[in-house]
Amino acid sequence: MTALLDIVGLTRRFGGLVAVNGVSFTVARGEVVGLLGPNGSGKTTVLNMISGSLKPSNGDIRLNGEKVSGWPAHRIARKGIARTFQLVRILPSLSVAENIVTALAFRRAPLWGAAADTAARDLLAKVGLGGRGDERAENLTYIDQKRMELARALAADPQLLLLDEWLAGLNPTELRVGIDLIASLRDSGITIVLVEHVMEAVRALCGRCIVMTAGSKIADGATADVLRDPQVIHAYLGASHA
Amino acid sequence: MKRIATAAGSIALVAALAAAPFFLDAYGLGLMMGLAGYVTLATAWALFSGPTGYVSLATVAFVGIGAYCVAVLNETLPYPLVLLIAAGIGLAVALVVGLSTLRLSGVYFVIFTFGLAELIRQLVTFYEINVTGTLGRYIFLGITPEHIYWQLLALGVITMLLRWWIGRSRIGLALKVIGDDEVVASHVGIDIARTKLALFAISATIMTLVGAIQAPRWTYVEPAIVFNPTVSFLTLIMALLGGATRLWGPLLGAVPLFLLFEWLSANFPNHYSILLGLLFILIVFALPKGVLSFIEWMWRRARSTDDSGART
Repeated sequence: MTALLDIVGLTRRFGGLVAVNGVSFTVARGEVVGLLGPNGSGKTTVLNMISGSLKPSNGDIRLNGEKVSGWPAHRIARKGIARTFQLVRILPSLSVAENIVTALAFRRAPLWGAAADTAARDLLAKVGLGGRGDERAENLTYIDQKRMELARALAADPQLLLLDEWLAGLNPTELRVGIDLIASLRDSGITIVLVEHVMEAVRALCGRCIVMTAGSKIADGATADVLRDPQVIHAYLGASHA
Repeated sequence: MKRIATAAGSIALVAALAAAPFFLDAYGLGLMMGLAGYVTLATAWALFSGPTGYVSLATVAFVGIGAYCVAVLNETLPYPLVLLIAAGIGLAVALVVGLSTLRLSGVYFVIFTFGLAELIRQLVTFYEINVTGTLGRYIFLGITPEHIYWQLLALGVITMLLRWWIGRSRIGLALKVIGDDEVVASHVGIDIARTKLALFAISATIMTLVGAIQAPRWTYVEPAIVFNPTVSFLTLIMALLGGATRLWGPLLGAVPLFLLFEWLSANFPNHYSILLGLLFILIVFALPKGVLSFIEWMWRRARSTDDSGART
């Protein structure tokens, strides 16, 4: 298996603060990798650097061997990296279907017009929003906005999907639905990196986990092993539990 | 059906407007010329500023460039070529300005564009005084007011069609996304800088042409006249009044305001600026999204109270 994503020595400084410090890991095609760690450990910053919202201070990010670090976000998006945001970002002035069309219209193999509309409605059906394309995006409930955002990310036909706490803030029933939805994406072969605090989801979805604390990687391996790792338990729960 | 009716109505309107010079006296024609100019300027302004939310006060910079191109070149080159060169210069300036400033956002962009108009005006003044030795220039072209009016009308129609077409194209969608959320825009693959630059350049080129076409009407041109910042403010307020995000908004804002300003400047020449400022404040406070959105909102509210009334 060749690595789809290859990250070497990734570092980001904000003034004197080193938010991400020399993080390296690879993600193989078809893998679902969880990126874990306490709040402020730099997970979202890593995601932001992969998607191009932030430029790395140091280090390389390669997609299929091609260096994409330092590129503007729109070029990285066109290479096939799509994402959702920690705080859901909808396009309030557009309809639900148009929200999806945005990603279809500007990806590498763009769709426009009737073809884009059909594809958008298919994607909405896939995430459980079938028949609701004409509603206004801002009128959707929170979970439905998250579904829409996921459909928008899928519309980009990504090689790599980044989910930033996509399951946060859902109630237990919604969480079940959400996990099943991501599981169905995994089964369709999409490579996913997800930042997540919901352990139930991490155990159900991720074959492998990477744990960060204070900007550095402290563990990387099979999910069950990583979650037993004393260092990881220490990072999360403190010394007395380790 | 509705689209056909709109198209037929638009064509009839343009035909009627094109025939207007045959029925109007000199004053009426002058009024229509000014009107056509401002409708075009407001529509061109909204082309860029409506969807992006970038408030530009550079309108007069481009209008002035257009007028000055005609003033400088009208004796040496044929008129159509002069227009072409003016458009080219406007486009070039817009690209340079756009590349350097579209990174600015919010109030910084507003101030920069205002400063740009002043800068160009001062540069032209400096050049004229120190190099050519005269401040004013004369434009003697055998172009009748009717021809100026028809050219402005044609440019206005083209601008409207362009806006309509952009609204339905991928660029139009890109602009809406940028207006909603730039982070999302870049993450779905939209090149924000290039999209903004393209629209800014198109809008500025049209403004330059408005200035160039109107120039023969003035006969005498000097920097204080053609770079008068009031033009920028009027354009802005017309587009805002009608609704800068709507296709017909700038038109609906420009017509009543132009007529009002005409009346104000004729009847209250000394208090004109004060009244203008008050109106400005009033529009921004009372109708921030424009008249069209306001009417729609009222309409929706009236309908929803009807519905609830029917249910009880």
